[in-house]
Parts: sequence; structure tokens; C-alpha cells
Amino acid sequence: AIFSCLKGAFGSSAKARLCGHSITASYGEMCYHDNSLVSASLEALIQHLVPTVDYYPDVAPKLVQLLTEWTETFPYDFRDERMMRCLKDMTLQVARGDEYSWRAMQQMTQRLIKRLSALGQYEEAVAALNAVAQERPASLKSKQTSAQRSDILSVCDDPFILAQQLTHIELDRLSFIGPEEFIQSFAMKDPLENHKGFFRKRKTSNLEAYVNWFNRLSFLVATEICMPVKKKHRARIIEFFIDVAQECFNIGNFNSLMAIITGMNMSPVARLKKTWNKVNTDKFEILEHQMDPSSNFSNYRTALRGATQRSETAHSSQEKIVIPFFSLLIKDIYFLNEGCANRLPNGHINFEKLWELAKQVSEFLVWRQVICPFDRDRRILQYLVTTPVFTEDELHLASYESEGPENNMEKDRTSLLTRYIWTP
Amino acid sequence: MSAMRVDAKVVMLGKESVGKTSLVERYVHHRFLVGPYQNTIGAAFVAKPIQVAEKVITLGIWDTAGSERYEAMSRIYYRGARAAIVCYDLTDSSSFQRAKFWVNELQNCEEHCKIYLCGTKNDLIEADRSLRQIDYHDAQDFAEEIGAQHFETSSKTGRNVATLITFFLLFSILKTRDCFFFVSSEEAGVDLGQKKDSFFYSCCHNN
Repeated sequence: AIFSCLKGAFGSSAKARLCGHSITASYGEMCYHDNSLVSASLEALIQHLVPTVDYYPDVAPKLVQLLTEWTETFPYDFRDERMMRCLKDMTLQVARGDEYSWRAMQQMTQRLIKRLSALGQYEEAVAALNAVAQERPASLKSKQTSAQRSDILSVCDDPFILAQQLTHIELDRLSFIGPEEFIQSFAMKDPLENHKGFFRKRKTSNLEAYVNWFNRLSFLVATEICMPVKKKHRARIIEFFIDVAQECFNIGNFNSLMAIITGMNMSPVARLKKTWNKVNTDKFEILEHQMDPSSNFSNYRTALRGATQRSETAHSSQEKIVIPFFSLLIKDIYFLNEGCANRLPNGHINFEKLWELAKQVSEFLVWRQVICPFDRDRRILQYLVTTPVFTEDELHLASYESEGPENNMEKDRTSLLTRYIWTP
Repeated sequence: MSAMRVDAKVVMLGKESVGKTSLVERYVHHRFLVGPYQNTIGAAFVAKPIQVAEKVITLGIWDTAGSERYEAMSRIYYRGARAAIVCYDLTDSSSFQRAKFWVNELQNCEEHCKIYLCGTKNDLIEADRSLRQIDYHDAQDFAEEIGAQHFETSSKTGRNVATLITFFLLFSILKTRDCFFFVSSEEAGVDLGQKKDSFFYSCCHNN
């Protein structure tokens, strides 16, 4: 987080100075290439912000600008009381300067408080929804008695509508992920870690809630497919989800698309050969091809570029939607963070890496801002986020009940699972 | 992001922070925390050309690091893999349970996939034996039961990483051919800076 803030601070102020003044070699500890900072020592960066004889800006507006950028880009840093206290102190200090800055600080603080209280409400809502989803009615325990549970088709049988509701959930959950969570979720050995411990605690709950949603959707798809007793019905549900996946693709909702494909690839679903034989898989194969992991998801990356271009030239808010396949985004950022040093061998901060990280995360921040244009359907949304789903073991058992075990390994597993699931 | 042709797909599986990436980095790049960033974007997929006799074989290595919490996704990654390196941390018994889960999955779904069971962070054990949570013989018994090769490695010291990869070449990549070959450690990239002068001389008669 400290990195992100440094980046924010130097990103704006260092650049601003670059435009107005030609930087000379006086800052020997800062290296530039084509007018952008490549690396610098921490000392030089601090020095760079200290006013000089040639450069003596009015401090208050700069400070307001910096804090505004900080609170808007990384509001969650200010969930810590100590940070809030610092902010208040700063406000008082700036206030001594002039009326204008004072007002700007007040507005900024209000916006920040609004953001943070929205976050609090969101966290409570997610916790409440998860609690409902965890309530496992006895009916789900066995397939024979699960007939009472309504299935997805009884809630929504229009693939386009379902894809729209999935997109709502995706954008809701995306919008609360703070950019710092990407880095915090891996940064355990950050050499620049703040020793005062301001940012030491990992706060990645929104990112985790989003990952959990993906897992939930995969398990929901698998549950819906494994549950019906009749083969014909299972096949119909598979075909329905293929259509939903296709609509997600068209919308630009790659995350739901991948969650659905994942659900269909889970082994309890994949092994239902007789069911799959009744399904026309042409469309599914095209979608799988789009999301094929080979060559580092090159097909998907091409499609994502296409969606990004469409978004940039969009005429409607629907065309603006880009919801990336999030697992790959975090993985790219993970490798970028792991594979490159924060500091170069000479002790300089490696700005090239930080620019690249910032580029990846800013792109995400743009996608996060899209307003979802579709109508909300409360009933469908409620079903998607709260209906109970099978666990891994329950899925296997349901699958074996649908199409009996084929070999000794599966037979062993069935009897093991039956014993395990039926004995509390 | 390269469109390099891949001859054999290898997938790395294992619980979060068991050291999958370190293993790959050790083997493929001889590096960690260096190099221009362009090369590491999307390094989740590594295509590694290996010279074996006159042939060049490209290994496509899939590392799931950074996305382990997407549990249901693993099958997407190991589908069609010729070999899987299932990693567990020698100092973390829960990671071994997770490894067993993946072995089970692989046996169910990918019968042609050769499994390598790899206990990581051996250097920690060597420094302090009380840290060990997985008995060598227990893991060895499990490996024999499932017909897997079993290694205890350290990406830090390089222990057994080269051996793991050599076995890998022998049993997995050249499985279908009668062959008699040797691999220069340098070309194959298995040398980890410990035995600069050594050559792996191996033969394999299959089918």
C-alpha cells in the first residue's frame, strides 16, 4: 500500500513538475527515460518534493491535490483511525492557509466518509447473504428429497435475462474492490513495508468476496446440473447454461462466462457422459475455445482487447461493459509483483515495474466504474446469491446417483461418500 | 503470450505458497526477482524449449500460483496435461491433504497424466528437523500406491530440482519413443549452479 501511495504521490506531482521545468542532472539519484521516471532512490524522491530556490510552489493546493488523489484512489487506507486522525490534523493545518483549501478539504472528507460508509453497508450485506447461503436445508442433503428445491429454470428461463443479472452481481462486487487489495493480497515480504504497521494487516476482504462469488457460481452451475433426477432435464439445464454463457460473452462479462465453463468442467459434471450425449455442444466448444488456457489464454486476451476497444468507443452503457476473467488478472499481477524487484540492485525504487503495475490496476479501475444498464430482477438476484449449493463431496454423490459409478475407483468413492455424508 | 508450439503440457498443482513458482523459476529462468518486466507479464504460462539430442521439445508449464482460491478451476488447467507436478510443503500437513485431493482428481479425469509428487522447502527441514510434518516414508508409500514419482526438493538450494526434471524428461516427454539420449545440463536448464560440469546421461527404452 505504501508503494501505491508513493506511486500516487509521485505520479501526479513528479509529472506535473516535469512538464513545467526541464529536469537536470541535479537529482543524480533519479533516472529518466523519454521523460518518464525509470528508477530513483527514496531519498531523491523525497528531495524532489522539497521546494527549492527555483521551485517554490504554494504548498496548500498541492497538498489538497495529493490528498484528494489519495482519498479517491485508495479510500480504504483511511479505514484506519490513525489515518483519519492524520487527515484531520492536515485539514486543520491547511485551513490556516486559505478559505479555498479549507473548503476543498471539507468536501474531500465528506466524499471519503460517504465511500467508507457505503463500503461498510456492502460488507454487512455480503455477510448477511453468505449466512443465508450457508443455511443448508436438509432437503439438499439427498437428491431424492431435493425435488422441493426450486431450480434455476423455474426462477428464470431466459438466458439473456440471467446473463444480465449475473452482470449486475459482477459489477456490484467489482466496484468495491480497492486497487490496493491486488498488491496486499500477495505482499507479504515487501521490503519497503512500513515498519509502523499502518498497512501491515492484509485487508483484502472485497477481493476475496469477489473470488468467492466466482466459486459460488461454478458450484451453483454444477449443482443445478447434477441435481435433476431425469437425464433429459439435466441436459436441458446444461443447454440453458451454455446459452447463458454465450450471452455473458456477448455482454463482455468474461468472469461469469468462465465461472460457468468451470462449473461444467468440474469432474462431477464432466463425467455425466450419457447426459452430455444428449446435449448439442457446438456452441459450448466455441466458448471453451475462447477461454482455452493454451498459449496463456491468447484467445481470451484477444477477445478482451476487442471488448476493451468496444468499451472505449462505446455509444451506450451496455457497450461499455468489460468484466475481465478475474483469476487471470490477479495472476498476471501476482507474477508482475513476484517476478520483478521493487528495488533495483543499486537500491533505487524500480519505477518501471510500478508504472506497469499501475497500468494494469488502472485499466481495472476504469472497468470497475461502469454503471450496469440492465433492469434488476430481485427474485433472480436473490436466488443466485443465496440458494444453497452442493459441496464438492455432495456434488460427486449426486453425480454418481445420476449416472452410476463406472469403475472400481468410482465405486469405492461412492460408498465412502455415502457413509461420510449420511453420518453426521 | 507467445504463440510457441507446445509439445507437452505440464501443470503445477499445490496449495497456496507451497513454492510452485519458485520451482518453475528455478528450473526455467535460473532467476528470481530480476529481469525486465515484459517477460514476466503473464508468466503464469511458461514455454520452455529443451534440446534433447537433435530435437527441440517445448514444455508448456502451467503455474496456478496466485489463483489457488479458484478451487474449482483446476480441471480447466490440467485437462490434457501430460504431466502434473503436485507440490506439497514438507512443513505443512494440510498441503499434503490438498495434494491427495489433486492426485485423486487427476486419476479420475486424466488417466494419461504422469504424476510427480513433490515435497518442497527441504532446506527448512535440513535447518530444523522438528519442522517436518510429512514423513518421507508416508509420502513415498502414497506415491508408490498411486504410481507416482516422489521427490523432496528445495528451490532455494536446488536440491533434487534437476533430478525431478530429468525424470520428467525420461518418463513423460519421451514416453512414446525408443530413445537413447543425453541432455546437457546447461542446455536443458536443469543445472542450478551447483554442478556446472555435470552431464545427465540417461537412456530410456520404452515400448
